[in-house]
Amino acid sequence: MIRVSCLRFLLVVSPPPTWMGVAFIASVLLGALTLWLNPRDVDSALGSVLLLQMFSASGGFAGPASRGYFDSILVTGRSRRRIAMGSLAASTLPGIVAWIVVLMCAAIVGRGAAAAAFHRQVALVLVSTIAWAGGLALPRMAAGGLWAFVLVAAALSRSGVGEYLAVVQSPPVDPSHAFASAAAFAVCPYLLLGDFAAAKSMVVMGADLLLASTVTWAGFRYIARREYSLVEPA
Amino acid sequence: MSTLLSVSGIAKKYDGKRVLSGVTFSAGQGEAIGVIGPNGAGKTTLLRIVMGLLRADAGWVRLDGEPVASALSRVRAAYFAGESTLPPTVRVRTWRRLFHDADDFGENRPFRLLSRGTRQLFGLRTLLSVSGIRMLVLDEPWEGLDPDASRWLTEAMRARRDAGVTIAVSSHRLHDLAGVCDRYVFLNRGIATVVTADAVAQNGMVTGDSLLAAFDAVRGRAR
Repeated sequence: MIRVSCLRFLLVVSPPPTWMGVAFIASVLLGALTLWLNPRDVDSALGSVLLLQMFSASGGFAGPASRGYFDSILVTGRSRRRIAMGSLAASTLPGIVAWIVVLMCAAIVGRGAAAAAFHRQVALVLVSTIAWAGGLALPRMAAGGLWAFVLVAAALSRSGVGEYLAVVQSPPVDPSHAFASAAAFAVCPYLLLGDFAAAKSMVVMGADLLLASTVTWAGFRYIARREYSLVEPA
Repeated sequence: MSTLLSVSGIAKKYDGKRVLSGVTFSAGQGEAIGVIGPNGAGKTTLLRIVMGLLRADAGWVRLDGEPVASALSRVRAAYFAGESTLPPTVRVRTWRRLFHDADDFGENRPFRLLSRGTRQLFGLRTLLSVSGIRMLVLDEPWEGLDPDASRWLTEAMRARRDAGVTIAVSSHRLHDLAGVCDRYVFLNRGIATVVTADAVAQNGMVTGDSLLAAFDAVRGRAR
C-alpha cells in the first residue's frame, strides 16, 4: 500500500526536528572553521557532531508507533527488520551526513587520514547505535539526554573520571584490561576522539563493534516483536 | 465465494483482563463484515490482530490461506484506525504521495491544522484511492464525518465490496453499518457472536434499529 521505502516513510512521518537540522549545519560550519584555523584539531571538529548525534539518533519509536503513525507501513507485509533498518537509518542519517562533511573538510586541509582513523569511526557507530536502540522505547532524544546526564555526573565525580581515563591511556595488557577499555569507550565514546593507546587496539575496537552490533540486534528485535496497540491521544 | 479472511479462536488478554475469547469468523471475497460492540469490547484489538499489529494469545488469523504476517506482502490490504493515527505535522499532499501519484485534493495544510472530520475524510480518501486493494479494514470510519462525507464513505465501501474487496469495519453507527455489511460480529464481554444480515433483517431490511435489537438479543437484554 505504501509505495515508498521504509526510510522515506519514516523520515516523512517522524522527521528530525528542524532545530536539529540547523544545529547540525551549525556544527558542520563550526567544524570547518575549526579545521581552517587549526587543521590539527580534528577531534574538536568531530566532537560537536558526535554530541548532536547522541540526541538525534535517539529518535524514539514507541511514541509515534503507539499513536498509530506507523500503521500504514506496518501493514504492508514488509518485514519488521526492514522497518527497523529504516528506523535506524532515519534516526542516524542526519548525523552521518554531517560527520561525512566534516571528514571531507578535514581531507581538504590535509587531515583526512587522521579524521578517518578507525577508532573515530567506531565512536560514531557506538553513539549512533546505542542512542538509537536505547531510545526506541523512550520519547525522542530522551536516551541522548540520559546518556549526557550520566557523562556529566561522571565528569563531576573527579576521582572516578581520573581512574576511568587511566584505563584507556595504556594499551590493554590482558583481557580484563581490554574489556575495561572497551567498556570505558562504550560509556564515553568521546574518548575515542582522542589518541588514547587503547583506541589503537583492534581487540578493544572489536569488542566495541560487537557491542554496537548487539544493541542494534536488540533494537531490531524490539521493533520486530513489539505489540502495536493504540494509545488514545489525550 | 472463496474465503479471504479466516479468524479462528482468537483470545487476547490485557493486564490479566480477558478482552477477546475464542473469536471466530471468516469473510469471503466481496463480503463485508461489521464488528459491533460497546466501548472496550475489543473491536480495535480484534481489527489490529487481523492486521498483524497485535499478537493473539491464542488462535490464528489467515489471509488467503496464509498466516497474516506473511500474507500481507502478497495480499494488498488497507487499514485505517482513525484520524488520530495521521501524523499531525505531515501535509496532506505529502501523505498522499506516500501511497500513490494520484492527483491531490487541492489541500496541502498539515493534518494538525485541519478539523477532525476533515482529517478523517482525507485519511479515508487517501486509502480508498489506492488501487489493487483486496482487503479493507476500517476502525470507526464514520467517526467525525459530516452527512455528505458519511454518504460518500458508505457508497465507496459498497462499490469496493461489490468489486470483490473484503471489508472488515467496526462502528458504533449502526445505521451506517446496516447499509454495507453482509454479516455482523457482535462482541460482548470478549465473546463473539456472528449473525448474517438475513438473520438481522426486519421486514427484509437491515436497519440500525434491527441491528440494535439483534445485539440486545445476543446480550440477553430486553428492549
